[in-house]
Amino acid sequence: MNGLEIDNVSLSFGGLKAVDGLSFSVEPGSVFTIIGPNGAGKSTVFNLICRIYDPSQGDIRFNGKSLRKAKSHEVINHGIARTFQNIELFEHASLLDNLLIGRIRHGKFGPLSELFFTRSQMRQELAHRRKAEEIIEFLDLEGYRHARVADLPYGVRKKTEMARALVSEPKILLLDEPSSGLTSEETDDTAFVIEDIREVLGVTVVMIEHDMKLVNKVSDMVLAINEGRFLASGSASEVQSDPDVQAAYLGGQAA
Amino acid sequence: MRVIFRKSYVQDIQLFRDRGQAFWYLLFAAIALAAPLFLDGYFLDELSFVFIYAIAGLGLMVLTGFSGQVSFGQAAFVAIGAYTHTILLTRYSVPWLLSLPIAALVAGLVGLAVGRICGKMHGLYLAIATLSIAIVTERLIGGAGDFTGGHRGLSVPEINILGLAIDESWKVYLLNFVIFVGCILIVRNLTRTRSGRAMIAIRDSEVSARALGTNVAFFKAYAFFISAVFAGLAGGLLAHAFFYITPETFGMGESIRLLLMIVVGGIGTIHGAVFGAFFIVLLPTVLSWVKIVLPSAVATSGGFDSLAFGLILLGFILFEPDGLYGRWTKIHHYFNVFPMYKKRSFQRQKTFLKTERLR
Amino acid sequence: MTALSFADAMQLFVVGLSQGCLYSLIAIGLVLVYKATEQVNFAQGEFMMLGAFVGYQFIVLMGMPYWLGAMLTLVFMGAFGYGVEALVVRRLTGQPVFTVFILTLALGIALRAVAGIIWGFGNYSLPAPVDGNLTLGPVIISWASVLSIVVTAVVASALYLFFRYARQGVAMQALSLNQLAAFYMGIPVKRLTSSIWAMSAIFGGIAGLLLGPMTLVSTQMGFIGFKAFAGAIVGGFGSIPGAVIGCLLIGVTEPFFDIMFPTLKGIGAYLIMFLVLLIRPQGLLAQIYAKKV
Repeated sequence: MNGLEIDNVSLSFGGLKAVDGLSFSVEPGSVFTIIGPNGAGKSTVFNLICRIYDPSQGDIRFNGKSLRKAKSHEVINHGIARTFQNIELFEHASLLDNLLIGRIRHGKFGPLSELFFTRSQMRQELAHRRKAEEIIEFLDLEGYRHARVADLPYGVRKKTEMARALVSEPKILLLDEPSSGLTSEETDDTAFVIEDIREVLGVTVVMIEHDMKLVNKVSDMVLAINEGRFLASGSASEVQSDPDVQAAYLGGQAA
Repeated sequence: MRVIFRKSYVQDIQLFRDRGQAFWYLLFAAIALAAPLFLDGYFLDELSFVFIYAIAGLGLMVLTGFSGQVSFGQAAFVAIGAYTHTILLTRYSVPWLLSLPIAALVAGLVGLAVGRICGKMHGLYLAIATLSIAIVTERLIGGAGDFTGGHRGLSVPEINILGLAIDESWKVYLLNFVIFVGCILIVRNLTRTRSGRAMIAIRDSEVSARALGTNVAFFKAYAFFISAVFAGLAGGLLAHAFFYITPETFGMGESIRLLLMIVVGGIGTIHGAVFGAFFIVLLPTVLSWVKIVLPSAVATSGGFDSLAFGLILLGFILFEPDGLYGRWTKIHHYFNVFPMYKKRSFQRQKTFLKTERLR
Repeated sequence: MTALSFADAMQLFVVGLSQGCLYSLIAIGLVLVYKATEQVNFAQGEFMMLGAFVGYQFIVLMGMPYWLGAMLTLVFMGAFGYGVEALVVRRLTGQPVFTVFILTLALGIALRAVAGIIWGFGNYSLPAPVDGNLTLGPVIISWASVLSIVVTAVVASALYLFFRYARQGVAMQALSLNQLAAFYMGIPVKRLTSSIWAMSAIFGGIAGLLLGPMTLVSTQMGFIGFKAFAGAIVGGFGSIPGAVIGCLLIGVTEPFFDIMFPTLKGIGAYLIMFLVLLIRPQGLLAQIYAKKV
């Protein structure tokens, strides 16, 4: 099958089950949102996909290929890029350099052509630079190209991280709370950006999000989880009216 | 203030930012090449030392400044380079032009092995592990008996390139300068290509470097390799500059001096390695001028030089952590935007302790 | 190489044990500071050297009675440690650990130079508080060594009790977990951090007073601090029991190593550390955890 498949995946830290027999699949070309209360295991799901954690059981497949053999730096070669909840940028480099680092999967290790900067190297660098510029334009980051990332405002940093994931030309983009810490204008902007990522770039989006307004606006499919287990899935309104979901958010016992 | 108009992507990639910058660097190079015409032997020798230290510093800059791996053991690779070079020259009569690259490569391979082993370590662990490598290397060379000359040391022959004896200060100076410029170009190329960027990525965030497809262990080891090659090269040249080498020449103290050198120069920049080398080599000369005006009780005391070194370093860490190069960019910026200079443009954020126990 | 007799082995073991105790005293100072603030004091060996020189000043040059001189030395070291934190190190709060590495390395260089300028670069002898040897069957051990073992045991257990039961100790633990939260809880973060540096300098001073009689006092004696680093790392930097165990391990194996490989004398400590790190990269009692993203 095409798309991302999480198949009966479990993970425990010591005695605590962080993810417990979770299964879902993401249709190519859709926007898929994972919601759930704090500590529900949402980021853990991303970390499992990106092979930061190894699941104790189950399988994760992308376009039919299992990711369980991949090392964490090889995941992106399948076309899976991600952002982080608390922004993990390369703080001491410029925005442009951050994006160029995002191109790492599209280069080969060639010590001699790099150290002596051959003509073919120059051609490669120009191609990377051009791709970076495309994404800069796509996300309206022109004004910050040569600024040091550590000096940028929060909203721009958030966007930079998204840009960095996009220059790697992924097939699927994992966004970990794209709107957290943003103003309401920036959140509205994020909704348009996510739609553009799907429409213009044709990238599937999986996101973890708390802002229900944003979720309602962009999601094709919503999955609610709690304590690492499946609660409900369906359209945004279906999931929100689900009694189990409401109980989980209110902290009560699920019926 | 001058604004650079970028008309093509090449401008972000090429060696010099614009013509003005190219002009200044070429002018410096021309002056440096002409230096033997107006400087005497003493200063030419001093400048040779600057170039050699700068080469070792460039290596350390790749490792510590770019890939973020703190090394307290750079002198070990300098020692390996110096000894390999000297032994190849004297014992096996290998031609100089062959012997120096072999020495650099041997040092590089040892560095690669160290990098493989130390790849999982961070911060303090890495610092102490590399420090022990420096101590162990010094001891092994000293304990190896006749092969390395043990603690008695080895005398180093003159440089001889294809029958051409490099026997005078100005010849040695020019040779060192050419190699130095070559090294700078190589490091500059590294910073504008994929491997260099991978190192920066690892330095600033290993998690996202991995998520973007950087093989962290590989590039850490590669950084060690490059750094050790430069150190080995510097070692070979340093052996000639000293005429006589002993294991103690490349002890732990020397490793730490190299690290402090790139910090004073400005960590994370190519300029930093060069500025730092000027600082560390010329400091004793400058201090000897200072001593003339000081009371003799202070001046003749044995600790004066190292006290001055320690205090200058403390001053840099507390007041100018970006080093000499950072100070230079600020002065440059001041004149560029005069009279609109704001202290705020370079202000550091105040922060509470950030834990580095999490990796 | 001749086989060691049991008596020789015991003798080496006891010598190593007392040496290991001295490493532990230095390492405790290191770990204390690291635990609370994540700062690594590369000048801890120089703190020890300074303690030895100050003791030499009071006891030998000024002729004070031993215990009075020793007390004054420790008072001086406490004030010194407090001052170093309050005036210098504090300015680097929140900077990467690397910056503090460099700062303390520079401090170490400056301290060595200052000690050399004040007291000279030679070797000086410092009296031990107790003379003579203790004979246990075939093993002969100087009372000074016994003293260093006893003092280390006392210091280590006192610290354990302090962190477990004393109010200040608990506050220091809170500080080590989250500085900002500790501040909001009304813990005087600045004063406490300075006090920790003072404690650490005092332990350095004790180590200096104990080591001085055994090795002679010189500006170079601080380099022994790097062996304490190796020991602390073997134990997993950041845990006091771990540091003590690591230092004892290194201290005890070192004399055996030196006898077996005389040409490699002095590097046993580092080889042991490497061996441990290869098997357990975080040390015996790990203190570093994976970052959560």
